[in-house]
Amino acid sequence: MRKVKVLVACGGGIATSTFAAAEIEKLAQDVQVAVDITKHPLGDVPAVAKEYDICFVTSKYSQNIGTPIIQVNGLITGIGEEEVIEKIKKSLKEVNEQINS
Amino acid sequence: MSKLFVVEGSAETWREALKITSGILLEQNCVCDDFYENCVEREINYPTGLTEFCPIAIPHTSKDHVKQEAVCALRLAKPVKFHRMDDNEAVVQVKYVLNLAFLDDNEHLELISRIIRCIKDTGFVEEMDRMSVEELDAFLREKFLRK
Repeated sequence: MRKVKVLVACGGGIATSTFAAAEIEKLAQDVQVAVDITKHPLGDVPAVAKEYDICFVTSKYSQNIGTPIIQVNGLITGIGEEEVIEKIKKSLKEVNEQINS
Repeated sequence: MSKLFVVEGSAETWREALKITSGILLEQNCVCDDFYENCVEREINYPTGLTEFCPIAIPHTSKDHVKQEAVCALRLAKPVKFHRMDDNEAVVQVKYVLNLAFLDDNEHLELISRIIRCIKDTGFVEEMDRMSVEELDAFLREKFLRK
């Protein structure tokens, strides 16, 4: 059983990603998925994405990077937050099943 | 210990608004000379305007341009357009600019968490709108910094 490798990215990898990473860590605990979270600036995403199982971003991101990517801006603005939380939990569970089955 | 500065001002553009906040942070020796330019560049690539329900922007840049952790809050006499964080092609009319000077990761988690908690509170902006600048200073100090 290996941990899900999670990438969290915001513009600078400084402010919102720190917050988002902490929230995602809690959500992972809720759904009992072991995660290893790394933060990066958004600009690094194309180069580093392949090293991760899933990627969460706090800005709009439309580029295809070959790794599942989920926009989690709702964690910051509170708009659609419940949906975003459900999406995060669901995707973490799915990825966990995929890599550990 | 983080510092907080609360001011009122007028600006026509988001750049002018940032000039005010970064000028204060520079004056207070919290940031380096190139903080403003780097915030502008960051704002162009990764805008920080929030939503129409929350007319706030949180411009910031990397720790390389910061000397001391601080927040400068600016209440604008008239809203200015910022591009939106969740959709950089969309704009939002911003009334409050929270210019963040952060040094590093885990130490600022608590401060950013507090700020985001406030942003998500739907009554936060209305509450700020009703305050004098002195009241706003005390209010934000309590919300963001009180242990």
